[in-house]
Amino acid sequence: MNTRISMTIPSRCLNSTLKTTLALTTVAVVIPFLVGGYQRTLIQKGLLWIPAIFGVYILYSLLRQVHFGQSIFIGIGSYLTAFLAGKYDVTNELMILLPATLVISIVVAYVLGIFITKRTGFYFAVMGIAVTMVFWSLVYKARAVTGGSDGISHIKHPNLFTISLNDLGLYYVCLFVTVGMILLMLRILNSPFSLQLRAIAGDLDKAESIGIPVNGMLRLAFVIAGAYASITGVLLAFTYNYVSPSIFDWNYGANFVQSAIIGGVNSVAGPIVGAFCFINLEFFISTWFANLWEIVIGLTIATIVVTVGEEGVTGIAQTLFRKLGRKLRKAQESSDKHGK
Amino acid sequence: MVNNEQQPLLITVDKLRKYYGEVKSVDDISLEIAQGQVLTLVGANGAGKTTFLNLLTGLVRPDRGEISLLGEKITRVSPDRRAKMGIVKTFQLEHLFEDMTVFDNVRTAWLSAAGKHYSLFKDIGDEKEINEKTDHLLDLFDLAEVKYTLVKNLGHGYKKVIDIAMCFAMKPKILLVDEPTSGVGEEEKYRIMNLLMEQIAVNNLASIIVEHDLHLVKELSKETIVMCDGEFIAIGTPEYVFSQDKVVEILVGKGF
Repeated sequence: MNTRISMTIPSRCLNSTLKTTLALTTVAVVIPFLVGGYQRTLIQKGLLWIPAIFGVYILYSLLRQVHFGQSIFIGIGSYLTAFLAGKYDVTNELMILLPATLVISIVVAYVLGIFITKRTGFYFAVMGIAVTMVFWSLVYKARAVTGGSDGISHIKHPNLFTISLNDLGLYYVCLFVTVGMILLMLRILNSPFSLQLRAIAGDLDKAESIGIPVNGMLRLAFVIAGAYASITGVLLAFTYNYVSPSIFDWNYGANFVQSAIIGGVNSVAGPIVGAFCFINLEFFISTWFANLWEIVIGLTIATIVVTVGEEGVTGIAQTLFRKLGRKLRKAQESSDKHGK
Repeated sequence: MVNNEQQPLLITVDKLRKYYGEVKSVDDISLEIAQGQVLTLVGANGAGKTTFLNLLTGLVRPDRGEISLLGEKITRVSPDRRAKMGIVKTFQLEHLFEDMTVFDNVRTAWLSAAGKHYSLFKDIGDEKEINEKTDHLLDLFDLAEVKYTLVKNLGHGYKKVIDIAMCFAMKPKILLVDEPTSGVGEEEKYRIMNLLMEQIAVNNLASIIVEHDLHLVKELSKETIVMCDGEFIAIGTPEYVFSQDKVVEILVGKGF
């Protein structure tokens, strides 16, 4: 059907994305049996970063806005978990914590969105950083409630439908939630909503002149990004058993922007690739050359930006695969000829 | 204002004013437009034509004065709401979604007109009705052959037509057309104008068309307004208007 060609993501591409997602999911399901506990935690962290990076992705790829404020919502999810499942010991039930976090972060994102989405471009980015810093300092100062710089530790293991989860159980919950959120994001990226977001990014005046409520739609995109990050926050808190104000540091929020750049913002695979590249890079560099992390990540991003730009690592991989495929096909053809 | 066709009143503009510092861009203008009434608006550069249109669409806020649509005051209504109410404008310089295909451009207008802004979970390919309407509109405006071309790869003339087609998706009551033929070749000019006038007539739209080509103005409209320094200095048939001394002086004197 050619009516589908001009969608946000072409349907051919979407199908292949779906297939790739399923294949990767299968790998992720099997992998805990092949690797040690430490590697599994690393993968789990990578999985959990994906929703937060998708928040950055939707705002950049559709609206061309750089979102530095994801740490606010990860922080909200993490601290809510730390309060309810740790400090005040109210509940450790995921089926309560996840919806509660969603509601709170949506409300917060909506209110912040009123201010942050008022301006676009440079000011949007700077507002994100500024608001994050306010949150950071509030959490840092409110020692009696948040534990200040000590943070909150001893968060209980989560329950799912009252069944207590062990580490492996939590891994599968993280996997399930992340895959679900990726599929939901694919849906959203291909919706009438997303097409109109692209229109807003294309020409604000024209969008308004054909009746698109620009402010409302920007705000909703911001809310979606925040909701995604808050889910990341809850599950990260359970993964680490610990939260600290450094979550609210805007440097931390910048990690998700950096991951998106590394992965590439031209393809829906970008955030997934970016998450694992970043997490692994961070792990290996800080293990072997503890003091070089900032330099390495800086150089990596600079290299990617200069060489492939928005394509990112995903773009490089796609080009390589295509070249490999062409070579294989040529080899096949020539061997066919020889066969005759 | 003469209203021969006895159609009901659509828009009332009452003592509308917009100054930019010392410049009187729109100076206490009053005007009544009936349904189906097609006006052409002429005047030298800087006479305030575009500002006047932008006041109607809400892109510019007036210093004072009122605008009503079908008896309802809309002076403080936002541009996107006014577009939904039926006041739609094409842009003088191209404002289109350059990185999207022609189909997606027009489809966006349909989606917006249908109010499907917050439709998050529906696949856009499943919006059958919208897609059909889009195809239909593309056919009407001879755009079917460039359906999947990115707008940025198209020429001036195409872009003007796409802009106009998108306006028609909004189901306008009044179409404000800002220099539809500027920067377009002579042949293309007439093609665009014919398409435009035909659709305006078919849909019984009111329209204000800003046009620099006086020959075109004479052919197109029964009523012409001449604007100078923020004021309407002559209103009437093109023959009457262009025979006025002060009009000739302004249009010729300023190198029009």
